[in-house]
Amino acid sequence: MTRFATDDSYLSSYTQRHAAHTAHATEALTFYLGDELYGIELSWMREIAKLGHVTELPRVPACLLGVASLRGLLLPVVDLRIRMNRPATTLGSTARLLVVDVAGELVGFVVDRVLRVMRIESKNVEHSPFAGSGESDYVASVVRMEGLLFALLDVAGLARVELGGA
Amino acid sequence: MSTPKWSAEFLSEAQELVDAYNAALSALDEGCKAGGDLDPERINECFRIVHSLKGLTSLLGVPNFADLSHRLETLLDALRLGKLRLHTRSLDTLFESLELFQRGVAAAASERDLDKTDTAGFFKRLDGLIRADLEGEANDKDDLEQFELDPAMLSVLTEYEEHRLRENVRRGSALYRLHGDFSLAEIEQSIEEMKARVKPAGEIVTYLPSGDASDPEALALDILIASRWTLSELTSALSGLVQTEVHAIPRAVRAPKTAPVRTLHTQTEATGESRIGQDDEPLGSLRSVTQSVRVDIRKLDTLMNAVGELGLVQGGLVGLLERLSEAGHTDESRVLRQQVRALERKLRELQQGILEVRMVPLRQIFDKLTRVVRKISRKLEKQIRLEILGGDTELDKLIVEELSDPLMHIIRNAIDHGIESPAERRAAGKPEVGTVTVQAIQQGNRVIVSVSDDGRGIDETRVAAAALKRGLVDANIVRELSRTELFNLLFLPGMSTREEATEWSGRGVGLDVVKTNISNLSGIIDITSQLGVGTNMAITLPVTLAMIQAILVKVAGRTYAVPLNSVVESLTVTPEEIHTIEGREIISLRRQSLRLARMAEVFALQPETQGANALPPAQYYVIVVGIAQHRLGLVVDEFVTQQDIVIKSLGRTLAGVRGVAGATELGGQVPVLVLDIPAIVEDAVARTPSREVARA
Repeated sequence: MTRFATDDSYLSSYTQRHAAHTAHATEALTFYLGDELYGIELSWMREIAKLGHVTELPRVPACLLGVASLRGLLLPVVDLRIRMNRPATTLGSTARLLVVDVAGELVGFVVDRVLRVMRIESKNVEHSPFAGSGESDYVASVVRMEGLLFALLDVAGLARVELGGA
Repeated sequence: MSTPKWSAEFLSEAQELVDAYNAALSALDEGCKAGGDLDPERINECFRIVHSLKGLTSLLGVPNFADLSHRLETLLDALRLGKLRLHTRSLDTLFESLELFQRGVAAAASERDLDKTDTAGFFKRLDGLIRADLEGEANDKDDLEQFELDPAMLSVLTEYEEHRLRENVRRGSALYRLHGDFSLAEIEQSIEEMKARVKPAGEIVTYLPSGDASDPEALALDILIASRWTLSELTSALSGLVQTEVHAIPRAVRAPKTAPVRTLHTQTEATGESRIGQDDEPLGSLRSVTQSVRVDIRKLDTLMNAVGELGLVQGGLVGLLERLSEAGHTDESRVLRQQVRALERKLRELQQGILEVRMVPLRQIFDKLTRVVRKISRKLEKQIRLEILGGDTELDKLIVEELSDPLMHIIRNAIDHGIESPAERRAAGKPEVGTVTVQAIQQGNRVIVSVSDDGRGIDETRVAAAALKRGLVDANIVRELSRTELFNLLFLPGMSTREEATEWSGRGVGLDVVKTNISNLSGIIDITSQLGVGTNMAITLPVTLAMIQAILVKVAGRTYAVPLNSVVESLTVTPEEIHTIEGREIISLRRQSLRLARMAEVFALQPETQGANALPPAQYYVIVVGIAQHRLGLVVDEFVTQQDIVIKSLGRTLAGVRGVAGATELGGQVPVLVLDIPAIVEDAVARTPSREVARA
């Protein structure tokens, strides 16, 4: 039941959700799932928290780890690695909970490691090579910059976990 | 419309009359406000003007305008003769008519009539005033005004009780009030006995629980008695039955001592006695209005959450206290203990206070029932007396609102299916008027709202036949069902014992909906019925939903909270006591079989530690939960403790997680899931034989 008993959740309120960005630029938080790099547009982010206690829910899909409390606020915790069909190894001390705000509902995404916030110019953005193939539902676009390549994720789609089935 | 040319003469005369009417009305209004003796001549003046207007408008050929004048003349006539009292409402109506007259004259000037839509609303209000007169309500108020009745008591009387009160007063009875504690165990006999003793010379008009009994096993009742006896006669008639003193309700000083109704009105007419001034009552009640505040219930939820979290802080302090005292800091820990205790007391007070704010009396919905019952009984041509008891019983606002519909349904059922037609009742030797009693009683942290009727009762063989006919249940199973279980078939979807659906019930969408609604409130519904005697449906509800008591249990290493309001009892059973039928586990509990559900299986939980499964436990812990008429034994590994919890919603994303009602935090930001007992029970019973047939 207990995953990581780190009591305090911390920091980094990205309050600048509607951060000033130029017409052709956007900011994204990048993070690792395993050894693959991904990004989420900063406008979705509410905060990054350490992974505290997650209470398991009955009969839900494996990617839905359970429910956690963020200073008294309950939110579902989704293991983004399982959600993205990546291998889910044991979570290390670098694991973080990315708290995103989807239409007023908070959802927590578990990732292996947070890299940093990157400023993305539109020239760095490519369309998803998988678009229309049905292979990857949650890759919105691909960003290539500073020698890195990562997928920008469709947060709303990822947060919408179908509960039935499990 | 034919529009003859109005002569300027006629028009100016009409305008003059309207102006005169305006002046006469203003004088009337001033007279009323002054509060002194009102000159009846002022009403007569108005009457004469309107009478003239009536003649003029019929000459002018403006039928709507003429109709208006005619109707108003009727009203003024009634006022003039004292059939109707002049009060704020009737005065308002008169002023409204003035405005219409002015509009009528303006229309006539441009050769038009008043529009019907202009007068429709006014006529409605006018009719309302006159009807009130015909039903004698305006007069009756006078009767009651003879007595210094507590307005709080008056306001909670049911329509019937009020009617009885007036009837008695009209017959010249005196009113008495009695306040006393009645032991819960004998309360019904006491009341019956009291009714019988009072009967020779009057009746008990109402008895209202007042909730300030000194003894927890007793209920304090406020009893209003109408009797032709004197105080001493009544006291001796009730001697030995009640300990407290009977008080006569004093007659108001202003009214004549034994004035019969009619005399009173003759006086009004003759002297213009100032009854008008008494109608400024709304002004008097302004103060009580400003003493209450409307609060959004969500704000109270926020407060409740804050209190819940303070509880966690307090828990933390207790932990610290223990550590201090273990470390030998005796002085400090002693001081801290006192402080923690004080905090605990105040927290409980705060919690209680918030809960009380959420509470509203059931009267709020009971009052609506009277109207509905009257409507239904008229429609079904049955005579119904609705008796309402315990309207002061309080429940959480949300529960009261959700209870409204189910209660309505049950009452419709009682009238439609329960109460027989007057002819049938006569034949059965029952009074033609059927009685439906709605009663609310608080028992600890539960409230029981029951609806009983003295109708034909439920014939379980008909229920079984109807269920069979609709294919809801298998014939082999029906044979084995107990009487109570047969009654419970009524809660199956698609069930109805009525051959034809009526507008009011019997469409087969009745009791299953009621059951669902009650279950959503963590309530239980029970049917008892006796053929030919009547039916009783009792809804047991928790007093509040915001802060609930819960039993914390452990299952496969996980902690869950089971809301106590759905827990019937808890027990331990040995493996030998568990039997299986078709693979389903049951135990015998007081000679009834109780179905078991292992929580670990219900939630498909993996054991947390390996090897824990190796040895089957020597005993199992079972929590018997009840939702509506169903019972289920939940098998858990351990009972941890019982405590108050604040339920938090899991939010939209997780709303669909079956079996979980929400979560609560027990400190250290550890959410503990609160079980959704209604869902768990429903899933379990969805596999009972009758449902299987129903679904096949």
